[in-house]
Amino acid sequence: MHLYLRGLLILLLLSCQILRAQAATVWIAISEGSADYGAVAEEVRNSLLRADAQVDVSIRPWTEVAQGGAAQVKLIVSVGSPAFVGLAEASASGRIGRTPLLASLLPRSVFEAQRRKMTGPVTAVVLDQPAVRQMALLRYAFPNMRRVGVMLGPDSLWSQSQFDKAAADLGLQANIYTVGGDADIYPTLRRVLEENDLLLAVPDTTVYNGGTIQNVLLASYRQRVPLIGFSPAYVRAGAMLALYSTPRQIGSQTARMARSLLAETPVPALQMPAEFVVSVNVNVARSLGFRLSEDALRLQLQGREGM
Amino acid sequence: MKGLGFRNHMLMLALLPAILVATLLSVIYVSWNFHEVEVALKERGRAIAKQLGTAAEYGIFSGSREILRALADAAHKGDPDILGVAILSERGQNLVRVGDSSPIPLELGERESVLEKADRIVLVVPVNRTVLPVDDIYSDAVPGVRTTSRISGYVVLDVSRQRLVEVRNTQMLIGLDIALGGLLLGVWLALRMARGITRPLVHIIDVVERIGRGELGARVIPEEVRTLESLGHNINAMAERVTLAHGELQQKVEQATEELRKRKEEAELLARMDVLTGIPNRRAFMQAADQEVLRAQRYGNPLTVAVLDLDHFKTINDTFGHATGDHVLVDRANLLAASVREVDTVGRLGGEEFAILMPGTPLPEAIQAIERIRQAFEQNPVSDGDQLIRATASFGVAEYPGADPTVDGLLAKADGALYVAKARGRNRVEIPAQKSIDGV
Repeated sequence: MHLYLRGLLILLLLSCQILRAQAATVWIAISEGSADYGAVAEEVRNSLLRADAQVDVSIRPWTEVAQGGAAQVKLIVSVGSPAFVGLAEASASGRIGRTPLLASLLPRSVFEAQRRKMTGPVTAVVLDQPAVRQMALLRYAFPNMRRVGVMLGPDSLWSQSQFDKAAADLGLQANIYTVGGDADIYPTLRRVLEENDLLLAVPDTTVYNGGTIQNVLLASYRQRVPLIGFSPAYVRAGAMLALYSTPRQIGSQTARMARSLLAETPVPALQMPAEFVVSVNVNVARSLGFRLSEDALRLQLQGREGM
Repeated sequence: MKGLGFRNHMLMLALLPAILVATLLSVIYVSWNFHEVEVALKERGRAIAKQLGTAAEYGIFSGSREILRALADAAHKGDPDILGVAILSERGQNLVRVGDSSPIPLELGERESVLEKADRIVLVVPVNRTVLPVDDIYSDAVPGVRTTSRISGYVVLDVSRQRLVEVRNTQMLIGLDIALGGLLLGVWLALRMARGITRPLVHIIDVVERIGRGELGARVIPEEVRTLESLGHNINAMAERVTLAHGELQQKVEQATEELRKRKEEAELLARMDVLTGIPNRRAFMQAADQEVLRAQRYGNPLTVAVLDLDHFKTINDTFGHATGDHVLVDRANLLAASVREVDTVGRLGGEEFAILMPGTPLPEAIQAIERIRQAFEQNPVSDGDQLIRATASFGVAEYPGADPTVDGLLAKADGALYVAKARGRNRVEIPAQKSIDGV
């Protein structure tokens, strides 16, 4: 009887195990708006399916996911800030239970601000490039320049120490300036441009947004201070250089992380982008007297990181 | 003068509507153009303000008054219509003011505003921040992310209306010129066209006036009234009839006048003629006698007068009746008239008494002449039907001057002689005093 019962229990557990392995369900909750969200979501799904055809992956608007019904879902991947913020709210109000959540394609500041609302396990692949990588890029691209100006808004103040340390490691001097609001931007910018050789932009919308970027670029260009951006849009708008990861790179890194989450290993820590590209505005570089190669810089950085 | 008035009247008729229409068109033209120019001026101001705003965006962002002043100066100096330029910050703080710029408006909105003033148009145009498309993935729906204001500042542009006023004046002048030109053209055309009517009419009026003044020979000249030929023709026909009627009337008046004259002469003649015998009556004779007496007095010519009286005329009357008596009188008068010379004058003094005036004739000659007359009376009885009536006469002859040198004196002397002749048996010739000539 006991034996029989135990055997039945084992069978039941086994079948559950098999069922669960067969029906590992992943929801990708995407934000609306940028085409990058769709691109990353596709990349995540394709990577997951390439690794394990049994995984049940569906891409859904985050609003649908936030309504709950995720009891049998093994993992939720949020793509973009709106999706993560929305799901954090949903989690706080108990609608998505304790389903693990992997946030992708969002600034680290957004993730850090919202993560405490999550009731279940949560981790992320953020957009922010490691401070060291950025400082290394400056070192390679502008070997004769030491003083690096960084303007931080309220959302990015946390990174100050990282910039300080990275700069020191690479023999650079990071000068950090804090900006409280619109009115501070120009006065601060003027000081930055006067006191530094380079201007490193960070993803903080208080300082850098569509409305300010042109004037910041113009001011730095007039002062002949190269501006280093964090997205291809900055290079298109007139930044000399940008270091960023493509949606595809973020997507495949997110998929790798999703697989390890599905494998029920301990929840991995937040990851910064592993792969990246360097983009150069050749015209701006030339007119300020620089010769820069995207590929050479990327290879130098990759070599330094042992990739 | 009348012709000119008529022409002016015709011109007024033709031109008054033209003047009205031309004036109306000018007014419409000017006001329409003015509106267009005003709109264009505003559009230009707006375009300048927008361009300036775009250029000033960085200057406003960087708070660089040097940049802004340079831009504002350029805009101000680049266009004479721009009185002043001000550039304000997002909060309406004055960053730069150039020229005669209006005070900062109290309300600044997201939309441009237009203040219409008497001498200027004040345009307040927001400077829109140039928004570049940057990555949404960094900013989408992030709590606490502020969206930067769309407006970075304002451009306040004072656009002068002076040019507008000048343009309006110019337009008005042009409009006036056009109207005037059109009018002159109209006058010219109207004159040209009216000449076809007014010239004939003026000519006709002139002719009619001349006829009216009595110049009946005036006629319409067909070459002068080409377009109004039938009217000219009719007027000529009318004038013809008037002339004709006038002529007839004149002729009748002349005839009547002649008739009157004749009548008057006849009456006068009758007054001087003895009605029965047809020889001068006593008055006519006396007048002639007076004349001759005067002449004789003046020139000393001889003058003799004879008075005769028919013998036994009362008996003839009683015997044969008055009609025969009258017949006798006529017969003797005719004989007497036929018997005297051309220069002599006979007259019936009354009843059966006659007189003969013989100028330039001395008494002896006169006596002889009278004697011949007495003989003629005697030898020629009066024929009355189939009977002959003997009618002799007694004669008294007197020569001028006598004791009384007047006609009456002369006749009285002749009468005295006649009385003697009667007394001496009738049918004889006597002279005053003792002198007497016996009949044979």
